[in-house]
Amino acid sequence: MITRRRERATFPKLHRRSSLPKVVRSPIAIGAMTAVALWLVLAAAAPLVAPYPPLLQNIPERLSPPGPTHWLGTDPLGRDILSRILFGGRISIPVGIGAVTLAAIIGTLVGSIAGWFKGVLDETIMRITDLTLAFPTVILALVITAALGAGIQNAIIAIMIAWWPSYARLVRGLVLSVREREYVLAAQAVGASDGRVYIRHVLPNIVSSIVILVTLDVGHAILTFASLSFLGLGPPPEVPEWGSMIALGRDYFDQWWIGTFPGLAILSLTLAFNIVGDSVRDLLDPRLRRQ
Amino acid sequence: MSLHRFILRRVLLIVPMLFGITLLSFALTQLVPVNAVTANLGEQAAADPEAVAAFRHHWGLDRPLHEQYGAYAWNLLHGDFGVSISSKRPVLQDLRQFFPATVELAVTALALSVLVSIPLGILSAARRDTLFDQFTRVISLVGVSIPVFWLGLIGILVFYAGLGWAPPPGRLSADIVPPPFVTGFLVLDGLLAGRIDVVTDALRHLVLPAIVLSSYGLGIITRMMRGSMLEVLAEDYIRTATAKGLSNRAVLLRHAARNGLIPVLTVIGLSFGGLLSGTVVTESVFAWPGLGLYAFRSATSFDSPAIMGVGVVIAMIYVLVNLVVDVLYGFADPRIRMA
Amino acid sequence: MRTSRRSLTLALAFLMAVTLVVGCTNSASPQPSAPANTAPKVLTIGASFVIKSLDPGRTIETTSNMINHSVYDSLVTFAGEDLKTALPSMATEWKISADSKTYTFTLRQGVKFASGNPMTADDVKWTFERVKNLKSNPAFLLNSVASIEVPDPQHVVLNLSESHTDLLAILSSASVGILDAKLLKQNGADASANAKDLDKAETYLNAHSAGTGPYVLQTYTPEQEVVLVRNPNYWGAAGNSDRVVIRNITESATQKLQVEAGSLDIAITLGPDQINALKGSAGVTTKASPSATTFYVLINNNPAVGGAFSNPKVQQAVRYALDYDGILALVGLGAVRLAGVIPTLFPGSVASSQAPKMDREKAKALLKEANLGEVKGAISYSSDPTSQGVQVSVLVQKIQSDLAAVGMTITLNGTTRATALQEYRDAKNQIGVWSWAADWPDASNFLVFAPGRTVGKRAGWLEDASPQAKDIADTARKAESEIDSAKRAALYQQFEQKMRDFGPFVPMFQPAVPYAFRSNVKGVTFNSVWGVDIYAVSKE
Repeated sequence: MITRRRERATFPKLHRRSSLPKVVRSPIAIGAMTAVALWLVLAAAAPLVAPYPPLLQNIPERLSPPGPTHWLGTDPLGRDILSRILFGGRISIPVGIGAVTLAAIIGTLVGSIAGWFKGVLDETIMRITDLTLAFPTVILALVITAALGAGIQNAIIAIMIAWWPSYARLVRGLVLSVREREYVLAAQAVGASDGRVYIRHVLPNIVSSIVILVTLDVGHAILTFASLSFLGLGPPPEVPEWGSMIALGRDYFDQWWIGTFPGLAILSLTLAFNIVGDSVRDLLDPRLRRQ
Repeated sequence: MSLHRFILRRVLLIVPMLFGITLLSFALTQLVPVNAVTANLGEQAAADPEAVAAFRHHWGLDRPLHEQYGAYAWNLLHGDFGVSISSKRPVLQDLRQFFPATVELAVTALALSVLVSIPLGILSAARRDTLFDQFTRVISLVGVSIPVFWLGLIGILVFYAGLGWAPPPGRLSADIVPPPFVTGFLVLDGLLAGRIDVVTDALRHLVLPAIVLSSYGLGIITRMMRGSMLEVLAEDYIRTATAKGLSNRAVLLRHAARNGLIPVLTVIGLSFGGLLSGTVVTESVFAWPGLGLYAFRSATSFDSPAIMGVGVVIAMIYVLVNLVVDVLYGFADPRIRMA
Repeated sequence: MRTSRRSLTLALAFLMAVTLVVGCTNSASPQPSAPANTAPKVLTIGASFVIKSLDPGRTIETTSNMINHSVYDSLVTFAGEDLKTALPSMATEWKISADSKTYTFTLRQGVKFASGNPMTADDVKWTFERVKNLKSNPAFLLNSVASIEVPDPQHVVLNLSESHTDLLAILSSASVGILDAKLLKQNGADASANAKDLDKAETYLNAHSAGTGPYVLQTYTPEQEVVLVRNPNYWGAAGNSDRVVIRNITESATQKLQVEAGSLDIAITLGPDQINALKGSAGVTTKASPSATTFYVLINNNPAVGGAFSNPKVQQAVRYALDYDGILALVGLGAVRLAGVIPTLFPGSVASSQAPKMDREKAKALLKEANLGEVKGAISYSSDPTSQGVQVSVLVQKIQSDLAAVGMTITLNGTTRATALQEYRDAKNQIGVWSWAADWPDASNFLVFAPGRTVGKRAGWLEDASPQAKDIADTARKAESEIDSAKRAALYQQFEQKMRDFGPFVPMFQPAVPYAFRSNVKGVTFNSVWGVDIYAVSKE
């Protein structure tokens, strides 16, 4: 028999159960959670913390580079960029969270109906979601905001309309599977009404999946809203929204600070939310617990 | 039910779907509070009721709504997408002009992200928790978090304005005569026409926008590859292979990677969807004359035939492919047919 | 997996799309390849396209004008930036009757179209009738022309319905450039009374030209670029460039980068900040050309739309609230303060020194007198990037802040060009920030601001609004029919003076259109009617 020298396996060992999943304890995760908390605080306290009012114009000081009076420089109308970034958080964060939550609620409702009642209703709803999913998100949002007009509300509506189908499909699939579980059948056998069964037995088992998707999606929603605003379909120009601030920077390559800093703001916030979203998923997803 | 009836059922469902899509597009364009007249007539002409009437008559805008939609749907069945009110050319011609640019960009971006992500993901999983792994995870997270339009602007700022390495935004330099239009892909057309200058110039222009567009795909594919590899590496048959004495590299490449790739293939497709959305802003930043830019311009100038054309084409392809996929799944898994 | 079908779907979608596109038969517009060895002289111009059509009979837009000016010759022309002296082009001489109602033109002999067909008086008549009968964008240019006669092949006589002294200026427009009637009739053109239904030549004219100019249209790729090549049959000295590429670049910052790097020879859509940045650049020359354009604030006189702003005291308050110095600083070098609606380029314009100056105390006092409580308004405007060198979306933010400084609360209602234009033309703007550019080089362009005329109507300002309005309308009528030029200038000035402190229009400034070009490019001029005169440009 040919004996071969055994090579040491340098592959990862199977993880043993720890008290908290490792992801949550890692420094990156903690850093991200701190960042999110910091952004929330800064956005809430912007009126107190920002050095200048975000709308204050100062023509003689327009287009100044970062310096002692304006830490991040000024824009073409002489407004302080740092202040505008801080106030911008008061728009991007609520919109991001709000749009996704709304989409989730609508999607859950529709998906539950589809998964519960099945049949023709299910088919119709699935075709409608197919229809909506057929358009790439930004293009759909584009046409909707072009039709309804620019503005924060319409942008939220557009994002909502573009996103609810993914939640609907998720929830439909979940409801379809949970519905056949024994405890549900048992509850129905005992004579509980549909509504009661749904709220007491189905919903609690699907909530965690929905929450995971929501937290993972918030960052993406912030990016989508910034894109719409960059294309000119968001709030009016004097409002300090990060996407439109970057769009303004397009016309001023020499004054690089105008477009660069708002982008860093978006990046840091989205990154933080994504990492936190990952942690939430690791925490809540039962499959990963085994690892 | 049998496979035949399954396919038939799905095919029949297409017709109402397409009807729904065109109706949706048409309704959206009627919602807008502006008409094509304003978008296209000059100041003085718009003030002249005769000029306005002439324009409306020329474009059939003075007919009742259902007639307009009916005419549109009928033409569509014959492959006629109507004429764009902005460019005055058949919409199909516009689409043929702009479509290849987007495909060229998107395919390049996808290729880039795949070629980089897969090895990155595999290696990262193999060297779990090392510095390399941490670095990769950060890179991939940044990839999915970075605003694509901002990355594009920074790219232009640094590599064109600052370092002068990249060419100005656009597909081709102004002093190069474009090759004859065969596929619409400049690189291919250049090769077919034997014009190496076109090929190099087109590639140079492709680099920066493709890298920028690939950022999201890079992020998400790397993450999935790594995650999937981690799952696979924890499986029993890997331990068996190692125990049997196979080298690390052999185990990695011959057993783990092949199985790890399967779920990732679906994610590659998923990132493709984000790619389409990303093209709208990327094309805007890089002045890339593709479908995204066309969609944006049509939407904002209320060029109804163009908007409907873009919407219908994208949705139609999606629907048709959905059918193909359903059929394939139907072949593979009989349970699906029963649902 | 939920995602798997969709993702596979999309992947196959693209494959199918590729096959769809590749498999389709006929190609798009043909692109001939360049000759193998000679290096053609290529001139590259960067512009933000405003092109609806390249059919001269259907277009009046700026970029189309620039292109058509090099491709078609009109009866008369102007040199560079001098918009006062008409020069012969297709007409070598002209006689104007004493009552300015009959114009007789002697045509240049021996001119051939690019197709080889000779240019005759019949082509002139046909072209003009086509413009009128198409009833499209430039039709209004020939409104005053009642009939056209061709007494012999060398002469064309235009009979006007009323006396007009501005006809020569009008006839310089590229929209009335002489067309090759024979060639176009073969391609579906029609000039008869039913031309608007019968003419089908637009598609042809968007891909080919039919003129006598120094250049010929080779390709037009909408939203992308226009390529012109030299006309071998041109009647004058050959143009300097073999090939002219006009590229659509909407961002002024990009144009600035490109002209700096040498990728563009001429950049004509720049903002004042880009010009400032370019001043120090080696190899680039910057200039600003005074533009025959008025930027103004429109206030709606109709109480139903204007609300508080239809009150004359509020309208006055707006005049005194604006920080004109700041606005001029924003808009850039070369911008001129306007006292009235007529740009200073034209005789009849009141001097800038007479314009209202900022006086916020006065504005606040006026608002108090009006006693309307809190004044709220919305400014409507087009949010397109740059127009005539002015970034309107930045400008309106300044105006918003100025009005807020005297206590008015203003929201911004910017929409894309199409929607914004619609509301403006429907007289639905409560407050608007717009510009009016001269379609031909004469002050008569700006009588549209009079009550009851085009722009006046858009501000809800009709002749019967007030006795002053009627008086202003009368002054306008007298000015346009006055034949003596000195008296006419005086009447225009009266027209402006009467609107200085009264009425729904607040003229702000006349911009100087900044443009830049490589220092090895000579002969670059820019006027606001047709942009760069491509023929005059040469590259060393």
